[in-house]
Amino acid sequence: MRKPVAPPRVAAWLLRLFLGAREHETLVGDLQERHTQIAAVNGSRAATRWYWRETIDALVSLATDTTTPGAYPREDSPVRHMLTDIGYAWRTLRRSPTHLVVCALTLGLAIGGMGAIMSVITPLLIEPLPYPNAGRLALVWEKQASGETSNTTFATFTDLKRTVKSIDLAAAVGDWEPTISGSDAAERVQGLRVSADYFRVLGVLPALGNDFQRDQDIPGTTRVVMLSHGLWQRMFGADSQMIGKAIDIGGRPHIVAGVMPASFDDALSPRAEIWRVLGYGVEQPFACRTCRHLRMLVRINENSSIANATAEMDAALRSLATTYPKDYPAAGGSVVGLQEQAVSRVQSVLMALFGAVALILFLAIVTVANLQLTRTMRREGEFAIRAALGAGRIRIARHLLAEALVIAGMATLLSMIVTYIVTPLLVSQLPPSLPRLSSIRMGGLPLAIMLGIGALTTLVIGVLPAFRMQHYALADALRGSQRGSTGRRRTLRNTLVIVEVALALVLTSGATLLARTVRDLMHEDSGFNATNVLTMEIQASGPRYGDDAAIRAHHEAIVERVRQIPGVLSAGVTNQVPLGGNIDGYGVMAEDKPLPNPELAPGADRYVVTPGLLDALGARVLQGRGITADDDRDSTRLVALVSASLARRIWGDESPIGKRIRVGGDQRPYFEVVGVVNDLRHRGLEQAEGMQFYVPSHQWFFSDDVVTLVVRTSAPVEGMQRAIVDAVRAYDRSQPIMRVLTMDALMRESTGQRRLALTLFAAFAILGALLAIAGLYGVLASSVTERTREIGIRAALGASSSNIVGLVMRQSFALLLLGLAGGIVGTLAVVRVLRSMLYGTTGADPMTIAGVVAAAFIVGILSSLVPTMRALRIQPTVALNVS
Amino acid sequence: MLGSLEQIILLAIVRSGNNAYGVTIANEIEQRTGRSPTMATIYKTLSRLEEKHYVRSVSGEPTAVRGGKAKRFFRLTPDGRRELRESLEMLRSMAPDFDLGFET
Repeated sequence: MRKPVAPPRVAAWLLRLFLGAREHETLVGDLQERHTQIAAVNGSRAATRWYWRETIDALVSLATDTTTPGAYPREDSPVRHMLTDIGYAWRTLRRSPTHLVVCALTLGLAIGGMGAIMSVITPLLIEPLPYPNAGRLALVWEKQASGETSNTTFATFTDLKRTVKSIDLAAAVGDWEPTISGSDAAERVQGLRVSADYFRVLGVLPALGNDFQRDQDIPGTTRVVMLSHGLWQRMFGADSQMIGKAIDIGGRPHIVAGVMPASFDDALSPRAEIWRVLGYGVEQPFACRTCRHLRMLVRINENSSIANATAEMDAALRSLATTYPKDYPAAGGSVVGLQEQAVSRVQSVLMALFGAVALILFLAIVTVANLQLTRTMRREGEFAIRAALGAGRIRIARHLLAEALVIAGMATLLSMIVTYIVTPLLVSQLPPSLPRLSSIRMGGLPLAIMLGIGALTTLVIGVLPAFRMQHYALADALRGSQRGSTGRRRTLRNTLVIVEVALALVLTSGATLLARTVRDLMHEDSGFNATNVLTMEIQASGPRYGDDAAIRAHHEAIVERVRQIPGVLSAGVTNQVPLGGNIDGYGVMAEDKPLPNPELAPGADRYVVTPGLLDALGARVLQGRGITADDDRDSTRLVALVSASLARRIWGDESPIGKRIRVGGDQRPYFEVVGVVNDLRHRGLEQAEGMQFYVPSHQWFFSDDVVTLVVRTSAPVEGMQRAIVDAVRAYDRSQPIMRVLTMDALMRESTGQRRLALTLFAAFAILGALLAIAGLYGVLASSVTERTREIGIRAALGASSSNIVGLVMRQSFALLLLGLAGGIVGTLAVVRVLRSMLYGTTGADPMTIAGVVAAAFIVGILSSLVPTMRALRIQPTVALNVS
Repeated sequence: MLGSLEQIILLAIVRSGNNAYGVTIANEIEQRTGRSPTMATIYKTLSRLEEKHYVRSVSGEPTAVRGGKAKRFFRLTPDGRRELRESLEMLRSMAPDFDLGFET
């Protein structure tokens, strides 16, 4: 005899759970025997798959098999009863697909929204940071006389560490952005310079190698670094022989002490990939008491608290101020929990989102409960007949609960899909400087909350109608005696609908205004042509690029190489690009328009460029000429271009050509204006005036080691990106390339905040509209049902169809108009808040709002149609018969 | 009138003789027809047949290869036998020897 092979455990457990004892005995015995056979012939994987298919089929046929009473699995089990109820509820609901879809969609989207926001909130605000006793970690700030907090200094750090008793360990932290040269490429990465105890404060050990030692943290000793797991894999091929070896950082050797675990997430600098020992001594000039450029991380003593530490820290800083009155403002200091500090920028936004989602969820549950109630009322006759035929009240209540379970179950499944899709979208909109972004996913807590909400919803939308059926004598329903909701409940329901309509209107108007803003911005004349333009930061640093000539030569050689690539139309470098986020500006003084106060000189963005740059950007020379290669060779005639707005600001209608300007102070020479360029929207697409001046790179008084290369191609730039990057990298592999972005991507990025607001508003608007439609429909439908007899009598007495339509529509109009009026008021209030984000339309654009109101009105009328049709179909005889 | 799955299962019981239970019935169907209905489907049909008193079942002894679970053996009742015969006769009379255009 064959030795039995164990079937998949979960499947076996499910069968045991759902099958009655007798059916379990035979069916599972057969499955087990056949599973062993199949495993012997086709292997265990095929057998497992087979077993699962059998299990699912068995459960499904159990759940749906109520047609043959006393069908094979005839034994009673409570689960079986439930499955029967669910199967029946499913078939009843399937006969009202609109009801099912509206309920499941409304709830599913709302619960999904909650799941997404919970997924984001959980690792950021709820779970502690991933360090042992993370609640004891805090940052120490000095306070300025203004009350603002500031960084601290190495001297202060050393004193505080020594004197404050409530801290166990402390580390000083400074920013660092080194360029690392690997075997075939260089990279500029984010890093930190930290005192030796840093990782001990956090309580995390390196996965490989050793932690920093205190004797490595002395000025003048060997430079020691710690690598992140990601950097170690990316640049060094996860070579475990790296420990103790030297790597090239900025042209100097640094010894690798260790590699941090892959799970390590630095909450002080989430993008940090490398850490170097600080190596400060109090005697060094940059360790002075006013050199405030360090952060202080502390681990608070177990017997103390943040409050205690704050008090002690404050006192210590005040006492330092008495010792060194010139160096401290005597304002004390503050201690802020590391987590609170890390999420401070987004906490309020996230909580506001959470509040909005919770409100929507509440409205969604109430609305769906209302719809179920309406549905139940319409079926009172059916229930009464079933009760008369012997179905107990419990059985009817169970049926209603089963319907609720089906609706809530579908909604919960849908919500998981929604959460799965929405969470990454939400994460992509959060600032990348937040810690733990990589830990945001649909984890255990959000899942548990979604299931909990699903269960709660089942109860609310199931028990409410069931409760009503209990209270309401079924015999009355059979007799059709006049029923109806009490006035109070009707008011409540009407209020709900009015609020929903108003909310939907506010959200839709907000979304529409934002959508118009984003569209307008993307179509504004930005001054450049973003199609098929690639930008990237290139760099010339280190011992080989010691002087301006070498740096310029590097940049120009790269431009020349890129120009040789087939398909490249033009290329150039500039110290900054429009929308690149750099604010590098100078006051521009005109020789013929002297100003009494140089502060009044108009500020303009500095563009130090090579000859091909304007073509690459697609900026147009409106007057005069552009910058040519001759300008670079000629150091005697200094030339400049100005933007149209700058020219108008300085010279009005006069032609600027031939005039002379000076930037950077009185000692600087004059540049002759030889051309006028169209304005560039440098700081943002919404910027109306573009104030710029352009100078040939050879004529500027220093050379920028980091510049942006701009390349225009004839073919779609995405396809050429690789070739261009490769060509740049091949020139000097020791130099990093950063921020490789198309101009289109820069434009999208610059509208990012608005896009996020738009996305949120649009998502909420869809939900809000759905809620309003469902709510309005529910109220009208239940009112038609309640007034069946009245309508029937009216029809019998000769009321025309239009009279009856008017009856329903009057109620619909009243609710809609009240809701829309509230919505318009709400919209005006929201526009005030949104004003800083809107553009082009001056806030509450009447046409837009009128359009949205009209649309909302039409949708409202449409959702009243079904109840109206139902009222029209009421036959006078039927209506009178029930009484 | 028997459904086609009912016919096939009754025939499988006949073919399995004294050893007709879930696994042998399933194997018989799979080997002869190439189709493999799931156990739940087979049992649903069997219970319908039992309702109609065409088959009868008795419990067997538990065995190790079945994880200590007992078999349920099925046999045709005289009614079942007659119904199956009539049903097959009907098929034969409806599909005589001429070419229907779909026979292989």
